[in-house]
Amino acid sequence: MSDVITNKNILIRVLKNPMLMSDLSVRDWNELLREAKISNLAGRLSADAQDIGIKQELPAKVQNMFKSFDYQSRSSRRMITWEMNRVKRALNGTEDKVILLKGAAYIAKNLKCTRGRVSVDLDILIKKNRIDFAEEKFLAAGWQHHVENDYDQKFYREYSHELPPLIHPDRQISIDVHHSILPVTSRVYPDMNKLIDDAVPCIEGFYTFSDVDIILHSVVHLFQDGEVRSSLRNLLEQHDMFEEFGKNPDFWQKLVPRAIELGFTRALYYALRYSKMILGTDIPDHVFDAIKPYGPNIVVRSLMDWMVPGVMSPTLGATGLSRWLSMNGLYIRSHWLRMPPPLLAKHLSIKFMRKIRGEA
Amino acid sequence: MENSKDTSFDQTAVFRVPSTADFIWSGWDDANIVYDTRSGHTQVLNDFARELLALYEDGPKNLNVLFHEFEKIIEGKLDEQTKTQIIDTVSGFDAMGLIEPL
Amino acid sequence: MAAQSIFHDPENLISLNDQALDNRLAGEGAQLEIGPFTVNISLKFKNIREEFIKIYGDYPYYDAPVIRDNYIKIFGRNFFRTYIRPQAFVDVGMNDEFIPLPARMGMVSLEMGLNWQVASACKQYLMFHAGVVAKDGVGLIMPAASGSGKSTLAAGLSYRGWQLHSDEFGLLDLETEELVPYPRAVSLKNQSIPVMKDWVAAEHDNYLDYFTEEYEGTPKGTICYMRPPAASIEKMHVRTRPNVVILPIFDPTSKPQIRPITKTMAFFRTVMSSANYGDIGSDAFRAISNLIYNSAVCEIIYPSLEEAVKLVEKFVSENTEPRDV
Repeated sequence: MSDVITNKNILIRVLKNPMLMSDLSVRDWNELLREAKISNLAGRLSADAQDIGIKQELPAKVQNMFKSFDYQSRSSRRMITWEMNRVKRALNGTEDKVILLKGAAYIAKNLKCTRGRVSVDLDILIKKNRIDFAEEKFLAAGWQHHVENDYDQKFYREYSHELPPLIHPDRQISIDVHHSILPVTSRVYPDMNKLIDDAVPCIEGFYTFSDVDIILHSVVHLFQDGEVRSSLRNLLEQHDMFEEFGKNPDFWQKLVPRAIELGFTRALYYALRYSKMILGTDIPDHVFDAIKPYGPNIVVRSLMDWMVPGVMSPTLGATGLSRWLSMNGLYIRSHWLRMPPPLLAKHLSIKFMRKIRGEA
Repeated sequence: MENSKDTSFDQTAVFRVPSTADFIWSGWDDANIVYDTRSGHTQVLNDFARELLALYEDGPKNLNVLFHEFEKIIEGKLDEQTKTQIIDTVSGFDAMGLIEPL
Repeated sequence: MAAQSIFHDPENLISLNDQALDNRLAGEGAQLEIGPFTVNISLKFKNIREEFIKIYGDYPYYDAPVIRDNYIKIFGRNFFRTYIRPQAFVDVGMNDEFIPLPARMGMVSLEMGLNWQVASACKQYLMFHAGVVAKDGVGLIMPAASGSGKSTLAAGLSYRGWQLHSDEFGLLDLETEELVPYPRAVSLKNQSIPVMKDWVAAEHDNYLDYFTEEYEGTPKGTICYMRPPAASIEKMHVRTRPNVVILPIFDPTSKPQIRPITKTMAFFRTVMSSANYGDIGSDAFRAISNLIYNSAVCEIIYPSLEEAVKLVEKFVSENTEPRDV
């Protein structure tokens, strides 16, 4: 499937080869900018152009727009970094491992994938038995819960893997305080102690997971946790990390065994498959050989091959009804993995009812 | 502008202007305006607050040292009311992130 | 001070007659240039096209395809929503879903869509929620909250010899520190509609050609859009340095007065009016500091548009040097 689809897609082509930007038609630019904005990757294009030194040669109009994307991504990075500073202050002197997740971890480690990136939340993880302590500290320092609805509060506390999101009235960043990377009700539930024990110090006051665990977390979030919509950006992050971490051969040796240990093999299978298929990631053969036995049967695989590109980006795959089916097919699938069926039914129906009444 | 909601300001702690701080100043006769490049926030300080922050810019110190240096500037003893005002201002700096505990 | 926009390409700009514009709007879209921005507009409802042409008919359009800042498409989801109970969907290509409005409010959807694009996506210019006008080298910013009458005041000044930059989106180039005109349709609400109609009628017999119909029952009450004066459209690439900041306060019971304010107050009011100050960061701080440093500042309290214009002209003439442009 994919060669035809992804070679047609201008955004994918440019992400794989940013040099293409030095010679694009007006029509291509309009298509590229439209897609990049929808996929939240506009800032990335600008960063890529900067890196390969072609920014000054681009059309004046594009340079002007890139200026806007640059301000936006710098602003986002500043806000996340500052929120980390405020978290450190609020938890001043704590002995607990405070682990940065997702975008915050990427920023703290200054990974390639943070160039031009815009994120809106700060995610941290703290041991479950210390999470009440952290919540108390945050509330004392002025953060507030911004989920007021009783059902949602109850949902977070009973079934979720995080506190209800907190936001400080002086700032616009929402912080999500996790005690696990997946909801406690997930069928595949990792032993969090393993991840926390392996976490390493990064910037002052904070830890991140090990490189292998960082990528497995991203993978499980994308392919198992219901966050697949318009997620080309997340796949691109994984692609970047495979390439960046992969420079260390140790990384490839550890990856599959760790996925087996944590129970994330299926998600890793998909990540490796689609990262290579869509973005051309350089992945050693022995890694594919090792993960192959954990892939789905041929029927499911074909179905995923058909659905995934369409979900990644609105113009990559199917359109119209088949696109709707592919989006919702994946949504239901990943929710099913996340919660036992009776719970799922309850959550979906309450969400659905609120939507009907126009409350959502 | 941020307000201190944390009433448990530790009066014995040593505070400093962080080494990574980078303030840009502007302002007119009636006020000092500071842009904090780390937080992206803009604050307005009167001359009193500006003087206090300058003392922290000179080096880390606890409250007692701060009081002492302020007394040298005004060439007199601080009364209780002024001390309270200083504590409030410093606690405000902390909430804004202009200073941090060592 | 007449800096040309760097991507403005006069060779490719044309004016379109009503029929030609209608064809483009109904088809692939018309590439409308407003100040520094180009937007591709397609409108699938005939009534919206008619209103659009009334307001934007005399604007410049790019003929051959250009790289555009934005696109906006207004369409009905299906046959029923296009012809039987028309409902206007707005696609601005930004992952945002707008609540569709009835198609009879067509221009409201369009203008709201354009507002949303500019307000959320523009970070390359410092943006003020302010009325901005210029004349003889004077660049005047009037930052204010909604309901202060700044839109009406900016529009009123524009029909008394001032160049309209914008009635609510002031733009500042961060490198040259010049105000960048963005003369969109002026959005008039409720009581200001008859005021502006009278105001324009005093200068133009065909004044009704300058206004759309009055859209009642919108989320903001009754809305009517007004075309900027021809001279403001012609000068949409002529920039001016800001040197006056006036905070307008409309109070029908007051007597007209000019009140001094401190520069610090003017600084913070200008910062507060800016939608992207926080994102732009230190560059915005420096730009606004310089702007206020170089500007005469005051507050005016006015009971009527007539009085407001007098106060503005008085303050400006007493606080700026006449300049040749």
